[in-house]
Amino acid sequence: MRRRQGRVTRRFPVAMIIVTLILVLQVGSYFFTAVSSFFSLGLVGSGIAARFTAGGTLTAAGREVVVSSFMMAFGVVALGVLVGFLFRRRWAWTAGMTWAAVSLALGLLNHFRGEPQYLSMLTGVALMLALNSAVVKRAFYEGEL
Amino acid sequence: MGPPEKPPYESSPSTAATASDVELLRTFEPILRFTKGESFFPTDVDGYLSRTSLWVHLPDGTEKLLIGSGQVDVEKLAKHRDHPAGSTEFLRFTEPLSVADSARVLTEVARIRREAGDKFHPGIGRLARGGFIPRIFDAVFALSLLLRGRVPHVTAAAAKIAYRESMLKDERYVYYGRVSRQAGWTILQYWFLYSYNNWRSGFSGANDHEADWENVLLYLFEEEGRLYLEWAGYASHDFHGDELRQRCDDVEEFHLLDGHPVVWVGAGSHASYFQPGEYQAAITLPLPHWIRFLSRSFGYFWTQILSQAGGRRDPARIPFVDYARGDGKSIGPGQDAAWSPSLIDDDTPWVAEYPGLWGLYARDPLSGENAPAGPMHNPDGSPRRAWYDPLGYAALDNEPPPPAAIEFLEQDLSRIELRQAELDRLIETKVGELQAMGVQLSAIESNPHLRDRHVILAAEIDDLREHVRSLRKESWENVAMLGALEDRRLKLQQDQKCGLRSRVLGTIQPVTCREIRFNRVAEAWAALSLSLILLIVVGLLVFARNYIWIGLLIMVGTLLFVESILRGHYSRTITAIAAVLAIISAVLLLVHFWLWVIVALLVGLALFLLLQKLRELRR
Repeated sequence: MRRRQGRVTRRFPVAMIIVTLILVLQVGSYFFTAVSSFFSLGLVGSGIAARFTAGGTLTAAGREVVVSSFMMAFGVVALGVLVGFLFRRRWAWTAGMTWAAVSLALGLLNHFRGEPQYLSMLTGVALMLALNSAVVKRAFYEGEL
Repeated sequence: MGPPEKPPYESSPSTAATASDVELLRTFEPILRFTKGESFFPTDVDGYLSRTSLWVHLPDGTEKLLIGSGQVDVEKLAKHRDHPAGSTEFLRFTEPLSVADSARVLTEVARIRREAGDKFHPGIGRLARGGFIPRIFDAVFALSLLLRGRVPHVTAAAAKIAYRESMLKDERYVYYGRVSRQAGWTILQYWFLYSYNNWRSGFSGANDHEADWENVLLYLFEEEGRLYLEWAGYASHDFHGDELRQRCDDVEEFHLLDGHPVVWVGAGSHASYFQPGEYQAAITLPLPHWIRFLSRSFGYFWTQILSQAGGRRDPARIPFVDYARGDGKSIGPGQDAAWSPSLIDDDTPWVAEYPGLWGLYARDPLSGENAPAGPMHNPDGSPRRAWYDPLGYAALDNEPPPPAAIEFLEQDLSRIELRQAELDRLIETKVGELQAMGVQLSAIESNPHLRDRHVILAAEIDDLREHVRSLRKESWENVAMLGALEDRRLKLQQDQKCGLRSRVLGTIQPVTCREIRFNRVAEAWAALSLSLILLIVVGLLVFARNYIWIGLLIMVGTLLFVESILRGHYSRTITAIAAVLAIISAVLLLVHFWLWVIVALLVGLALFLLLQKLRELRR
């Protein structure tokens, strides 16, 4: 099939591919965690069950639903950032860096609480370095560096 | 005196070379444009001295009155007095005031300001001009004034009243002009004495001091009996060299009005600028070398090794704004007020014989609050470069006057052409010798009994070959040099000077409104933030000592977040925060997985080498 004439293709630097992959993995991870929880709780198959609350407080299953909902929300946000990133929107870069900062802060917090999540820390470091690399910044802030 | 004549073929203003020194000074005298709210203008030495007293600061820290107030004049000032080594003579324009006098002076100044109606408005965002860290340094700098010697705030008010009284008696605007001739240039120096520098107290700048000597230098060259204006150098803070000069045909950077250079004067600081605007002056704190070394090393690692963006800012830089708007009084030919010129030279007694300070010696180790010395001296009594080396002062000592430039070029051209002819002859001779030796070498090559002779000849050939090579190289360079010089000569003959700014590397430029203006919320935040931090710290210490660290962390995070949003620097701030967190995380990961890191590095190295060798095998 012939390529459409006049279409401009933009090269994707390696650091941007790394950022994209990390974001894709995070989106996938959040959605997977959320959806698998919903399935295991029978939420998706049999509708909303009354067993998630008892006496005005959340049951263990209810708490899991809340956590999973947050995961789902994070996933949606991460997906939005990913889409913005692929379209090279400046807000997506800023959101990505905020994401990296929050992720690193949570990673450190967990580490000092004795519950280290080294993979999350490693991803945070990689995401920060890749986002702040001169080539990626130039792609988003052309003419300002 | 009318404006200088402008020949039709030349845009630079000019005058007859036979003009006297005073005529020269008057022909090119500058127009000084001040900012609204300025209180001090160029004054005369006699009037200023008549209000001062002369003192000496002795090495043991005591001060002695030499001549009482109202008795100082130029003759007494120039008289030599013996003091122990390390002493500093200084004048006092205002005497120490009692509390009652201070209150009276401040009230009087407030009344004068109300009546004059030319109040200075700094504009929104002045307080927010620096970031968070520079603002902390700014606060430390302000607090340091309590420990360093400084000119009291009320002194500025007293100086205003004294200056106003002298102007009511005899309103004159004076410059002290000096004409010197060096290396083909005629240099006009305009020196301005201000009774007081109220940059800090009047315009939130870096310093206040009694007396202020500023200067404007004009560089003229002679051609066919006329003197043409070519360069101008305006003194501005501690800038030097090509930072403070402009070429006069640069119409974008240099302004002439009827042949008179226009100078925009900084409010209170009296620094001179080529353009109207607001200038971001800065003081860099004297941090220890090891801190600077660490900061530079980290910046190099961050930008060069990790290819990260940023890392160019110096946090120890305290920004100050110098307002040179030019919306106030204008002094000069055809302006609000005219000049009263006065000629000075190396033999003017008060210039040459008084190396002391022209105002209060505030004992400030950073010198910002001490008064300056006169036109010929530095505050330590050493000669002032602008006086004895006006060309080098503006980095013009390697710049010949345009007519001399053609002469220099022609001398260079004929010297190189002569050498070139000599080289051509030499090369021809030496190449002939080399060829003859080559023939001789091949003739004795197959004769074992001439082995020693063969070795010597081969060495001689090598030496001669090297010599010919160096001659050819010199000849080739000369051809290139001749081309460049010839090209330059042609351009100069066609009156084409070199690129306007090719010789001017770092001219001071005003900052844009975008860089200096922030909204009212940012302004209010900048004014309140430091006090707020201190109050929160006090609150944590008193009410929540158990949560002090987490509280401080939350406070710093919140302050940084608000600050970055208000200043429009959110991206930069979040990047800095993420970078710090990433560095801590990376160190923790390295400490925890050091073995695996080494293993990964070794495996990576092994794979890399393996791939390299496999590629070689496949070739």
